[in-house]
Amino acid sequence: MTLDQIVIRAAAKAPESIAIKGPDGTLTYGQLDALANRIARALQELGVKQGDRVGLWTEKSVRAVAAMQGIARLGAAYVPMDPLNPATRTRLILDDCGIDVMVTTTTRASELHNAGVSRLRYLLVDDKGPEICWNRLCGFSSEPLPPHGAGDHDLAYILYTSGSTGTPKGVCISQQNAMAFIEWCHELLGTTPEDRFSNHAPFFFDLSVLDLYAAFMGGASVTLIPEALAFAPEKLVELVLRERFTCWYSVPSALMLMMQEGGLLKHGPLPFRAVLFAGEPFPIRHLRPLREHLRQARFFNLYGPTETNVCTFHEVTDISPHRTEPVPIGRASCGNRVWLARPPPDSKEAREEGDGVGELMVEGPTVMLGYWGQPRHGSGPYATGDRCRELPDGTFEYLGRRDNMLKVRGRRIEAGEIEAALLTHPDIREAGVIATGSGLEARLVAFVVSGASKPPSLLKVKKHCAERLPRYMIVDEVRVLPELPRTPNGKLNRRALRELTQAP
Amino acid sequence: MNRDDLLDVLTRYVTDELLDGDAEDLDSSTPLLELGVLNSLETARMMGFVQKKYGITIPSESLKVENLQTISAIADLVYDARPRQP
Repeated sequence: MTLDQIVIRAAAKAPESIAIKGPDGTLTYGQLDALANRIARALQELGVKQGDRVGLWTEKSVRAVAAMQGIARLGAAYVPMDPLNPATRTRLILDDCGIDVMVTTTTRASELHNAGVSRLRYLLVDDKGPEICWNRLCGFSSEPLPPHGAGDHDLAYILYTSGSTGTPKGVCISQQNAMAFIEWCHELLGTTPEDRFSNHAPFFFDLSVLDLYAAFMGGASVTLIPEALAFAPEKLVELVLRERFTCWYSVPSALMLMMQEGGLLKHGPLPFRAVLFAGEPFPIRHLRPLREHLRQARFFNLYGPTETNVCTFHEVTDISPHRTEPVPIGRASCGNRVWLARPPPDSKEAREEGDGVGELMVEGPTVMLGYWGQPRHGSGPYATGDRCRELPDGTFEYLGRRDNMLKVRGRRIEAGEIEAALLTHPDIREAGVIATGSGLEARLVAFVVSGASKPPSLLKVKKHCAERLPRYMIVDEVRVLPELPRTPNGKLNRRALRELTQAP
Repeated sequence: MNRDDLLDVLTRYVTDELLDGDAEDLDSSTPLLELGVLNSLETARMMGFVQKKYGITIPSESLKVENLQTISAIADLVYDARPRQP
């Protein structure tokens, strides 16, 4: 099965049921299905064929979701991009995976044109505009398309992270990768047409795959939460009350923001029956009151880097009042196999690591095809880079990273990638990046040595980052040092940098 | 409430609370979201600050990315939400 067939089936079963609500309107399954067919034909006219990549660079909207479906109906892969990326960063992605057709707004299309990208053709999500704009879609047939011929091992979508040299890196997810995850979610949640899913995560973040497709698989509805609403926790809580969501999935910080700034726990019984979170450990002092407030809901902690989709899960039942550490990441999900790679027993490394501690390895149906433009990953295990402990019951607990990777606001960030981007600035000679704080207060601090008489301003550094890195990797603070602290071997001393941030 | 004062208040807030006092290169058209100056927590706090300071409520339908992109856009958002004399 492929992603397009999920909606085709739901539409055949219940065309009048609501599929999706967004800031720009509501679509039933029948309407979504018909619109996706029109979009597919419009994209065909723009030259899209099976195996192509189509860029999706727009705010969250039902139109954007219909476009994802339209792309899937041609057996092509969609590449969602941060709507707040500057054109220069979007261009890096377009060039990396060879995108020739974009779904975007008129404004963004002209920005790309001004940035010197002339090969692109556009489907515009605006009502009116040049090329194919939304109002012109009604000129295309809504009848079903002939089979696209894409199979389980073909590309479904690409999610861009960043690469070690500060250039983007596309995680290629096949139809099988996506379907194994979606079918597992469907089974776990037992989704029914009565369910109402929220969609908090942006489309370029893999959490959104569960919201959209677990809902579609069960014939349920999903409500898109615009990014700007996520900025106003009280309004977000109002939306939760109004929409009466039954299933919620987000990073823990989104739930914490609703609790701390939006008064979520002040409201009586909420109809949630499933609350899922992923991306970072949920601080136990914040998880406990939520767990206690939502007695009726099942809570799940999901775990997995973008490269493996969700590969383990843990159901959170009662939390002991004595527990101080975050809940475990649990056991393998989606038909995967997970285990720890351990240093040889009795070795110095094994003694240093401690009992039952090692790097979490994943093998199975949700492990990515590979990075775009690099050799396929193959069927071997994927090393997550995460240090975990195996508990007596065979489940796993996340301990931290084994390298310099940082976790900030649910995203994994390699300090070296930000440093590489900073070093391309003409006025930065050396750079070291660390993370401070946790949860909502997490910040990325860059220590730099500048060769210039006047070091670059914070905004200049941020702009330099924004043009090269995903938004969550833009540094929050810059501190200029005469030189960076080094270890006796000359390596950057990150511990000394962390101590500098603790000093007043 | 006067729009120029509002711009000053917002610029001072962004400088002091979000940029550690470094206002260099900041103007009313700096793309705050794109540059990660405003994230979800900071935007929530800033909205809380202006709503309290001016005793206004910003309607949810105005909370759109384009209304939060720059100091100038936020000033318009706040200005449009001001209480009006009957």
